Amino acid sequence: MQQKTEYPVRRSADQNRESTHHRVVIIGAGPVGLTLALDLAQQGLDPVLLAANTSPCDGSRAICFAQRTLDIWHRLGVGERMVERGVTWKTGRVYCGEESVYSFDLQPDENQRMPAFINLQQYAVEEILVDELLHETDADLRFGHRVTRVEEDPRAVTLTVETSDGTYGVTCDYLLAADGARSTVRSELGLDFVGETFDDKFLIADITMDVDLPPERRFWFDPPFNPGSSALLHMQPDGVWRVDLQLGPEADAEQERDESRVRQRIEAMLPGVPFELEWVSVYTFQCRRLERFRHGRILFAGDAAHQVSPFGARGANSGIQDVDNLAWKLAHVVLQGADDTLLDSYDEERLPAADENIRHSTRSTEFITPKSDSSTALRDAVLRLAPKAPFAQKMINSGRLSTPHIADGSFLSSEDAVGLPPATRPGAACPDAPVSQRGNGSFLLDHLGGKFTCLWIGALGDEERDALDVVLQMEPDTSIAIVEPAMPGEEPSGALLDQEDVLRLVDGFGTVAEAYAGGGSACYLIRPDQHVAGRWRRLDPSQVVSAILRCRASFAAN
Amino acid sequence: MPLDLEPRIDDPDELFEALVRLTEGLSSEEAERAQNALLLLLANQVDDLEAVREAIQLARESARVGGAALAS
Repeated sequence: MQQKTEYPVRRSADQNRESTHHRVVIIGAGPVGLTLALDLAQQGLDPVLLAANTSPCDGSRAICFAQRTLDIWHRLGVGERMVERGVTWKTGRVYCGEESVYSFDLQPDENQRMPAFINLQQYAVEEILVDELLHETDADLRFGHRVTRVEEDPRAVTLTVETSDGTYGVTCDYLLAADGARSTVRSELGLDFVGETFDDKFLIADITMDVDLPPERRFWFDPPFNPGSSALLHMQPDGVWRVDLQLGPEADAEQERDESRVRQRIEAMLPGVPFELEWVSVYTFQCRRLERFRHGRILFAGDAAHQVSPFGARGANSGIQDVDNLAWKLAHVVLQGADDTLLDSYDEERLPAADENIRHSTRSTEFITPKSDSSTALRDAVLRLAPKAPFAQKMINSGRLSTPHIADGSFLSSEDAVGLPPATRPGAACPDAPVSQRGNGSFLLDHLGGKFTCLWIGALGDEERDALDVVLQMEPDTSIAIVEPAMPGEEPSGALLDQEDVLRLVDGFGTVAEAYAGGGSACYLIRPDQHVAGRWRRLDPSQVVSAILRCRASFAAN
Repeated sequence: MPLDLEPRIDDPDELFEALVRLTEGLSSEEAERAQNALLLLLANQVDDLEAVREAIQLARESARVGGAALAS
């Protein structure tokens, strides 16, 4: 059962003043707003976070968190707690009628820090993030502070905030709207979504039951317990299971929420299994986004910026990736004097990411709930062929699960080198791989992020040593990471070792060289959000430095 | 066996979407005509009567009630 956590509700010192100015204000204490607050706080930019709620969300809501999201949380120091508290899974199974026709493995590569997916109730995610923010940072969290008015002028954003203890005003340089699908900021600005709304209604029921089933995502087309429609069963922690049943466009939401009716549906699905109802919700969904996520001093992230169907776990995951993209840019603009146009690259990189998610989500929706008789017939033909035809199995779309977007063509990326693996091209999130440091095993992603990192993969010769020295002289705030092939008996040596920011890792299995350099050597510039900014066959300090400047300056200068 | 049942097109979702678009906005009669026309075009493109015959056989089997996974 969900144990209700109450957040501390406090009066703010701002309430005693006419109006207080802050550099950055975040609205919304969902997973997206909280992750952004944590990222900014760790970059030394303590944000004010305003949230109407005084406790975590009611009900499980978002439950599937993908590897990239876990990598981001790991960078922020909360990944392990999420994994410990969640259920790890990687297998999806598709049934037609009662028969299993297809299964897929989302993590063919086991040798990574984070699993393909965990299932964890959204409220548990929020609790972990709030706990970390309250105990480990100076972020100013204001629960029970509801923003009711938003006004923007070229100098600042002005907010009116209501609390149980009166109304007050604050101003800020930048406002991050992570206030969800019914965003107050969005309606205050009069912004509309572009996209599609779907008619089909779905029932979500979280139930507790004692069954011995592996932690797999199970999806049914046309099961006997919900004929002509779909069903989904997913494991959550603490013996809780997510049941998601398609009801059709004609269903009456009010009637469907009725407890006895919900019980009937679940008894048909799980005959003879005793269960308790935890949470019930009837939903429809949209696949749509704002035309732009940046509006001057106001930036939108997560559901406030874009919405998708739940099949594929692309909602919360894409929101977390939005703020991963945004946090370092904001920190560079506010703290390090980078040009404000750096924030335009948030739109540049995350609008296509939203479009990719919307495209996948729309396609899944059209497969699960076809719009016409002929598309239903086509879909059913795919399902009927699937047991015998592998090509048809690949066409079964029960939700293509969230994978990180690659920001191809971003203004921040330098020109790509020829012949290096496509998966790690500029704009891609770095894949994880095992490494070791003085005999202690760790993972590559443990060592990347937060700052710009110049990563050299290969043997370290005099040419590379000299080049790295030049990089450090010109850009002293850069981290240096060297991943060397395992060579027996050779001890790392030289002046570089004395520097705190130089990290020497050993690629014991050759996995890093394989993934990043096709088995050879290569130099990478990694952004603070663990994305590739540029890569080269050789370590040329002038190329590395100009790639850093390209990211930090702006494309106004390009 | 000349009929290849392995995926031959990289992006299965793109393929499915294209096939859905075949009948978009058409009446059911028009849709059936379009489907038959597509069938003829693709069969001709395959240029292998043996493969077409195998495909026909498999398609008929999959269409029979109870003959495949889908019960409806």
